Amino acid sequence: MTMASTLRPTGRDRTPDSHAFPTRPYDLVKEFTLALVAMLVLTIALAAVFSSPDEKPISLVGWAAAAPNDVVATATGELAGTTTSAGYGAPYNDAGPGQTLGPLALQRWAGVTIPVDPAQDLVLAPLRRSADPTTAAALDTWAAAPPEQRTAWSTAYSDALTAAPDGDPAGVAPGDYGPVPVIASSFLALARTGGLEGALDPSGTFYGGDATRGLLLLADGAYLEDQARARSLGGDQWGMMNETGNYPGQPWMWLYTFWYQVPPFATSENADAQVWGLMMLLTLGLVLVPFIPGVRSIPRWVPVHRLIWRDWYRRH
Amino acid sequence: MNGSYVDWGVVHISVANLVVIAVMVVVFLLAVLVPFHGPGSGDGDAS
Amino acid sequence: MSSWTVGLRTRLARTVPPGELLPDRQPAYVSSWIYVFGVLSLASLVVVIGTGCVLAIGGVTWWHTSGLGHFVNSTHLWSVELFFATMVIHLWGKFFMAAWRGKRALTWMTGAVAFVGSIGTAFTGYLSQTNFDSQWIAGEAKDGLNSVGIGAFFNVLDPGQMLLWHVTLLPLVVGVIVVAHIVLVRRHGVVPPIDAVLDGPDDGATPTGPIPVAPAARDLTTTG
Repeated sequence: MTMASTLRPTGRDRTPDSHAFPTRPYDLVKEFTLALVAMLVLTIALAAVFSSPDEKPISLVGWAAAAPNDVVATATGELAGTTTSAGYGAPYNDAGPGQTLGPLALQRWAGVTIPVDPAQDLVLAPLRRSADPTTAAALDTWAAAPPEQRTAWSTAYSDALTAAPDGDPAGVAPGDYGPVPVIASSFLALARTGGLEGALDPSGTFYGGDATRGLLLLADGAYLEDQARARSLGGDQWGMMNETGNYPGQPWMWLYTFWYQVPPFATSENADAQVWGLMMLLTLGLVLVPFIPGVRSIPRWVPVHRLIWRDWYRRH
Repeated sequence: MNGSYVDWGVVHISVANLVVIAVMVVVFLLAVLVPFHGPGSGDGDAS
Repeated sequence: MSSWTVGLRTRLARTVPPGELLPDRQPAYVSSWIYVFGVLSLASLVVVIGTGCVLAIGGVTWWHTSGLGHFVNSTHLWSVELFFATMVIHLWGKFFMAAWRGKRALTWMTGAVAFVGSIGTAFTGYLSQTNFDSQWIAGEAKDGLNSVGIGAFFNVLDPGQMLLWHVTLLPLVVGVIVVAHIVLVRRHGVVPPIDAVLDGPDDGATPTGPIPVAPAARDLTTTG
């Protein structure tokens, strides 16, 4: 074990060899068996008393039923290029620069490995399956239009939806929106009938398994986040350590989620990369505690060890 | 379903997580403070 | 080297001498309840893996549709909470004992890596739930991992990929680290009290004086 002997915490480590101390009888196998039985019994008891949370996933049908205006706004946003995924960058597309960690553009450097063109893949391609002639005509009009025209239509409609009461398409002021209102309402109709479920899987096969596109679409809408925030799961609600209902979540994530609550991370454009970098640094610090002057001496200053070994210290 | 939460300054923590952490701290304190009488812990005999 | 087999056997015996793998005596200073939290975290890890194996029998969505499946899922969740709770108490205890002393730095380091690896494994478990929780966690976590390029090959939005990481790759990694951690614990023995001085024959042993060295430790210093 070269590692163990070269990585000496200190040149003045005078810790005696443990094998040279007086001993007492000990039954390791018995101890492990009792520990296993104890943990098993405790686990079963906690499971029986408290159960576990399981809120159903949001289906695209459910989304369309609960927040139809959000579906229309999201579809329009994908066409206008204003949603999160439409402007994301790596690993989905080249639409955004991605986050940076100081001079390191790790996100961009990793490349576009999961290509997603949100307008095409999340809205237009699934709608092509529709047999409705009005929808088909609208898709043809969209396809034939130059990019600037498409952006003008979809941006105008997106703005009009925002201005309409409750974002209701029925309350939108008249304007030049081209085929966008038809595409967006057809998309809502498709979602309502369940035709969107499975239509977003890039493998296009009978078997699902990769939910990337469906989740990107859902996350582009406001409904998923509204539901999560109502359960204190938002990133700025310490959500990383929380769980639906009255269940413990991942309390061990307290430090990771803490940074998102305080400046400068709470307001940073690069918070994800910065917090990740900081946590990696702190993790390295945890691993290297034996070598960090000061930190490794804390146990000597805090007399908890006097309590733990009080029998030994009393006698010696 | 939303659970019960406690707010304290910037801290926003679920009662469930708070209970888990509190139990951990109490168990740690007990582990350090409660006398241990394992087999032969009373008389250390040289081996 | 004449025989690889003999070489490996010698190496194994040197790494953990037979009596130290499953010892029936402990140093007398091992006398506190804090010592049980290492074995408790190991025991709860066994329960975590066991309940996970039972969940695997029923499959990915079994626990959504079956009462028994849901109960097994509950045991998996609570054993994970117990695993983390006991592991963190173990970590607190070992920190205050400065348990990395006496060439035990690698023991501390493997323990810390096991802790971080367990967090990653639990994370992929949360992503494999196929419920609202996993939808939201995936949507949030993608930004964190994409921001540093990890999302380019580790796609949290793909529950198929996450499930396989959760049930094969990460448990394997954590398992190997935990085994290494335990081997190191057994090899070096339990760390003596801070400033412990061995009573020599004339009671003249001091921290700077000659320290009795057991065979295992002598091996460390001469071959290391």
